[in-house]
Amino acid sequence: MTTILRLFLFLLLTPVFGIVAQAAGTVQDSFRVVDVGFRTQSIVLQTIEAENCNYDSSGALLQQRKSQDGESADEDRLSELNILRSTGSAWPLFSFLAEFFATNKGATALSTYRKTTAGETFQHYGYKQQAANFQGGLRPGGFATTADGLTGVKARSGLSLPHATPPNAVYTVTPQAGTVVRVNPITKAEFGQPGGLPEFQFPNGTGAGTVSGPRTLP
Amino acid sequence: MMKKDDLCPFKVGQNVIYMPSQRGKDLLVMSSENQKLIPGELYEIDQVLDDLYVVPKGYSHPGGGLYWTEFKSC
Repeated sequence: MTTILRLFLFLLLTPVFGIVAQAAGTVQDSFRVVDVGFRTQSIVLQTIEAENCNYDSSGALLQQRKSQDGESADEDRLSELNILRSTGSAWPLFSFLAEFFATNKGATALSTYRKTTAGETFQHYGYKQQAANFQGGLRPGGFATTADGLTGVKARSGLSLPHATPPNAVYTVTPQAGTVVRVNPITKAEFGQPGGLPEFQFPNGTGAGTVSGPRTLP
Repeated sequence: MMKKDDLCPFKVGQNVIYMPSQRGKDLLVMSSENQKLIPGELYEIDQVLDDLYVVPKGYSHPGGGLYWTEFKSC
């Protein structure tokens, strides 16, 4: 009876583990190939039939090596030790679960850069005396925000601006779709100001003809 | 140790070095070259506004003085 139950459990669980293993990565020529995305550390994954797969921070497959002698077997054993140390998995059967965890852990890294969409507009709070400097658009590294209708004092406060005199003008920035922008959803407190408003920095600028204004601020 | 929220420790007539933070530099990219200070240069303080903002001699930026933490004593 016990034997039949074990056999039943084995038949039940085998396909389940197969599905999870497929989710964790694909198996190609005895190598489990997993894109580790933005993972920042090089990790040695499971030794599969005495073959090593070594991945770096970019997710590229660094090394595929087949053990052919005794020394390599020792190294393979060392790689298993690395897995146990990094994943905490004591059973090779469950190593793919640790691998799956590591993969998803790496994938949580978010970029603060994105590209603008068509018609997206931003506001740059500055000074009307600088209007001539905006003819070529925002310069590389220039800032803007999505907060509209601010007074100069509120702009200085919410955007943590460093000058004594608050901005007296606002420029509207309408970059071309696909312009690279770094997003900071909450400006940090700095220069004696609390910050708190979203700020957007354009590392490559926005190009000529993308800025209109200035409009005088109250 | 001075904190960033402290009042400006510098006095009018004192020489200070302009040592801007990265964000402080980035926020000035739209300024004209003649309205920018040069990082690492020595400046004599002309005014201290609101006990927080330093106006070096010859500084013509429409924003007036810069927050004092952008300067270091020498």
